[in-house]
Amino acid sequence: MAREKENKMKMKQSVGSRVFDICNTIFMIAFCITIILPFWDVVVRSFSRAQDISYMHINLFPKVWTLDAYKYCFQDNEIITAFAVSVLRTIVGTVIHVIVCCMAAYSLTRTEMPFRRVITAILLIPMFFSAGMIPAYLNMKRLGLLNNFLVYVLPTGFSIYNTIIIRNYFFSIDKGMEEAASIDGASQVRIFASIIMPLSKPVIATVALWQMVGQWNAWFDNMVYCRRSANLTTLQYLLRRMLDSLTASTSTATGASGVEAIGTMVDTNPDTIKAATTILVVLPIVIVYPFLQKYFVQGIMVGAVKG
Amino acid sequence: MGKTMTSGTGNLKKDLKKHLPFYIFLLPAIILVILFCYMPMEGLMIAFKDYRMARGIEGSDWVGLKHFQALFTDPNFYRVLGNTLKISIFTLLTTFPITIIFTLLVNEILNSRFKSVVQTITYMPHFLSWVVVGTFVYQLLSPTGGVVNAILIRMGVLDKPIYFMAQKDMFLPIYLITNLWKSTGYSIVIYLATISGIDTSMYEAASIDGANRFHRVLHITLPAMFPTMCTMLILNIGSLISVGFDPVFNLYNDATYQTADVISTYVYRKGMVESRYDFSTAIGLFQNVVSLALVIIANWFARKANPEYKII
Repeated sequence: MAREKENKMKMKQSVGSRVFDICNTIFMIAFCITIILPFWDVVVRSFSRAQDISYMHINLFPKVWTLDAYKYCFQDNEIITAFAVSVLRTIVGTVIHVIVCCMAAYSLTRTEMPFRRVITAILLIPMFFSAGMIPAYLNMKRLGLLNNFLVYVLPTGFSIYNTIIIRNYFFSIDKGMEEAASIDGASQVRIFASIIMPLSKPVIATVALWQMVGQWNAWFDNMVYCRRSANLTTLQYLLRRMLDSLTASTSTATGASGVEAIGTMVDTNPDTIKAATTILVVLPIVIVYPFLQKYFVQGIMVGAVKG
Repeated sequence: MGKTMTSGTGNLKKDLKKHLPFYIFLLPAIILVILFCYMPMEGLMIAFKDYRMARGIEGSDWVGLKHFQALFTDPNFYRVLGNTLKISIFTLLTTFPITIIFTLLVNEILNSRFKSVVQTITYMPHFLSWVVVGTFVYQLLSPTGGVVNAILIRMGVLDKPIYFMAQKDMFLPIYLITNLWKSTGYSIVIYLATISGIDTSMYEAASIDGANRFHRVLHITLPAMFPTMCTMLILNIGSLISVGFDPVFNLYNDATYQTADVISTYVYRKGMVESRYDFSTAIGLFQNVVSLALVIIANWFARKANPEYKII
């Protein structure tokens, strides 16, 4: 606050400084508009009639507001199923992730536990070296997880990064309470569930939100492991396939020149439906965004602390 | 001697028993890591085998370094490697300075409410998937109703719409701009945190000595950011050979393979699309080994530069 006041004082004195402030404000506004523009473009499309957004129109607002695209989406079984799968994997995946990571983190706070270093190393090595895409695929196949819902929620169940963040938070909890409970005869499970977890709400919220966003945004596992099962298609992959139908048309045009490409561009999904689907994909993120913003800075900072 | 040994193992037994609940708590994590991180490593063998699906990983015949020889004589591989390096170097050259400049500009916003609005808006794209971002880009640059083409034609810059996404020379600029759009707001967070740790009395002392705003940024803010800058730079160098799969996959198409294809997307197409499992495992192994080496080297440098810094 003091610095702000002092800065304001300075501003009065120097013309150069004031010019800078004006330019900076203009730049920031321009930058923010650049960020918002693509969102707004999709919003406008999703509420427009298909014939209004055909060719070379720049619409700041839909010519005629309509919910047709959304009505179509909510009647389309494919989109409804995909939405349900995405919601389900987000919930189940996040619950598994939080439980597994918190349990591991609690154990890793026991500095005097035998073999703690070996176990930490086992958990840590995959962060630096992974087998890669094809071995992972063959492994899923061997485990019978291809075209299986579990492939969405089990491989993401554990993350050493989040575990270390949770563990660092656990370290900050007063040991006295735990000891008191232990003397009263509470089991470790009980101490963990009714003392440690309730006291760690901020860090659990952070990790849960990250995982929720990660689960909601995941599409690669769908494309590789559940490509052929229609009832396991997530909303992200559905959108990706709409994008595919667009990019596939470029191959027929061979991309030699843009002008040719226009003629051959066959688009199976009307722009408005695609836009409405995009909104369905983005909306949940926008809804949890205020919470994300609250927690994620804090999370980054905890992450910067050494493990 | 013998006595201490027995009492030692006795203690260990007692310790193990005492910690039994904690081992059970660790079990789910260990099982998941073994299932999904260590078990796939067995599949790395096929990089040295002639993989036949019917015979499995174990049953297939060893072929030594055949796939690596094929790899190093494959012109596509050098193209893909070149693209990977080119994209990551250009990404570093654009994001790094722009992030720092943007941090300084945001830091100089005097109105704290406006500052938080700017931050709120610019963080947002970080939380979108690359599928969504890809959809945005295709939509904006579309030749049949994309805003960019429409504006350029209205302004008279173009007389016919261009299909930007199908131009192979346009891929790199589009990729870099999209990347900046998505990540700039997020990447300034760590720098802003560093700046908030600067002692404000330094600024006061400097202004009393007659330093103007520019001087203060140049001589106080920037030097204070320097250690963080070093760490971030070194970390970035550690990931030079691994351009992410997501951004490229959601921005490229057949028409731009020549300039856009990177190692990870090549592995995907050779392996998952063309089913050349053994060959693409070899490419993936090559990439992972090189990037592991880079991370280790980068980590070593990071520790030299800043002894407090630690990945592990």
